[in-house]
Amino acid sequence: MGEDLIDLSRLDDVALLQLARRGHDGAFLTLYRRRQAKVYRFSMQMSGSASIADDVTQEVFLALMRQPGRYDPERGSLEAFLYGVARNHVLRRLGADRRYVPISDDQGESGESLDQPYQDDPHTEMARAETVESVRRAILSLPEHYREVVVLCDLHEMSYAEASAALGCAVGTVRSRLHRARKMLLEKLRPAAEQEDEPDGVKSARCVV
Amino acid sequence: MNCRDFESNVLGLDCGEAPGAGAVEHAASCAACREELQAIEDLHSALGDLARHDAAIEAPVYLEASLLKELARSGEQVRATGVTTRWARSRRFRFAIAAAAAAIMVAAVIAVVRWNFVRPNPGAPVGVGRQIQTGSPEPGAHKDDSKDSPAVNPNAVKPDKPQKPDQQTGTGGRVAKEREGNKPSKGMKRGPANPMGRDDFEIATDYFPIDVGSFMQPIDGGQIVRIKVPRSALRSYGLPVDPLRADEAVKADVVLGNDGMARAIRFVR
Repeated sequence: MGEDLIDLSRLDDVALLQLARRGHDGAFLTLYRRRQAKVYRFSMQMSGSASIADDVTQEVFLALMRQPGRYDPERGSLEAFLYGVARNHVLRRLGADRRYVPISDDQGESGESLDQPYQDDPHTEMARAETVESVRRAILSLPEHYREVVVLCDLHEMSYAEASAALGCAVGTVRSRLHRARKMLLEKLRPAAEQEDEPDGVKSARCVV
Repeated sequence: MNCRDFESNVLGLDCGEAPGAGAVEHAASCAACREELQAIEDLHSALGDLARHDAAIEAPVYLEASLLKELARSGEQVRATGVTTRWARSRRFRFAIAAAAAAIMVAAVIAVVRWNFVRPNPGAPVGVGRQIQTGSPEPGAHKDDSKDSPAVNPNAVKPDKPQKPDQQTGTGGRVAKEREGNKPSKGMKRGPANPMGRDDFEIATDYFPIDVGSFMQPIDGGQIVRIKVPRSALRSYGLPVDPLRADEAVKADVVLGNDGMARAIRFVR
C-alpha cells in the first residue's frame, strides 16, 4: 500500500531492486528504463549485432528479475553488475556464433539501429559518419578482452575501478589492456590515412624492390 | 621524457584529458611523437564522436513489452505457487523437510521424557513405587513445625517393597526423610515424586505396627496405601500433638498385607 506512493524515480538502484524483489513491478520497470540503454548499447558495441543486443538485454534483465539475490551491493554498483552480466552473455553468444564478428562494411541489421539522422553540414557529417564507422569497425576487430575495456572506458566513460568491477579483474589489468587496445586502434586506423597521404611512397618502394 | 615514456603517457590519457607538460615539451622536440600525439587526439575525438553517435541508442520498445509480459507471468507463478525459482523452490522444500524432521525429533524427545517422569507405576497403588533415599536430614528443614515433627530418622525408608513390620519396629519418633526429587543413583529408576507429581520433600516417621497380632504374623506381600488421619492419631503412637491443630488431617502410609489386614503405619509430612 505504502510502496505505491513512493516516487520511484528518486530511489537508487539498490532500493529499486529491493522493492522489485518484494514483487513491486513498477520498481523493476523503473530500473529497466534507467539501465536498459547502457546495457543495450554495450551489447551492440561489443557484438556489432542488433539481434544479439536484443537477446542479451533481455537475458540480463530476466536474470535480474529471476535471481535478484545474485547482485551483492558490497561488490560494486548495480550498473557494473549489469555490465558484467551483459558481457558474459555477449561473449557466450560470440563464442557460439562467430559469424557476427568482425562485422562487414555493409550496414546489415546493425546498420539499421546505428544510423542516425544528420543535422549539420552534409559533407562534415558524412566525413564524421565515415570516421565513426571506421572506428566502430576497428573496435569490433579488437580481441574481446581489449574491446570490452575500450567500450567501457572510452565509449561508456567508466572509470578504471568501475570497469574492473564490471569485468572482474584488477584495475591495473584494465589500465594495461586499455593502453594496448588504444595502440592497436591507432595501428588499425593509421594505415588507411597513410595510404591516402603517401601513395607515391609505396609505389617508389615497390620500384626499388 | 623519452619517446617510450611519452607513448605510455599519452596512451593513458582519458578522452578530453590534456597531456602533461613533459609530454607537450617532448612532442615539441620530436616529430614522431608529435604525430603520435596528434593521432591519439584524433582517436579520442573519433571515440567521442562514436560515443555521442551511439548515445541515443536504446533497446527497442518491444523488449520492454516482452519483459513486462514475462514479469506478469512470473508474478502469476509466484502468486500461484508461492515460490519464484526452481532454486528457491528446492531450497524451501529442503528447509521444510528439515524443519519437519526437527519438530518430530523434539516431539519424540518430549514424549519420552514426559513418559519417563509422569508415568505411574502400573502395579502399585498410590504412594508405592517411590524411591526414598537415605541420607542425613538437611539442616534447617521444617523449622516452623518442630513441635509436631518427630525426631529425624537418618535411616532410609524404602517402600518399594512392603516392609515387614518387624523390621521397622521400635523406635517411634524416628523420622525418615524422603527426598523424592533427588537425582536417582545408578541403577535406580526415578519414580514419581508423589501422586500429584510434585517434586518436593516428604518427611516420614518409621513404620509403627498397628497391632501386635498382625505384627506377629509373617507378611509375604502387600501394598502401601496413602491415607489421611486426624492429627490426634499421632498421640496413639507416642508422638507429640499440638492441641490447637489436633483436628487437622495428616498423611499416613498404611501397609496392607495380601490378606487385607493393616500391618503398619507411618506418618508423613
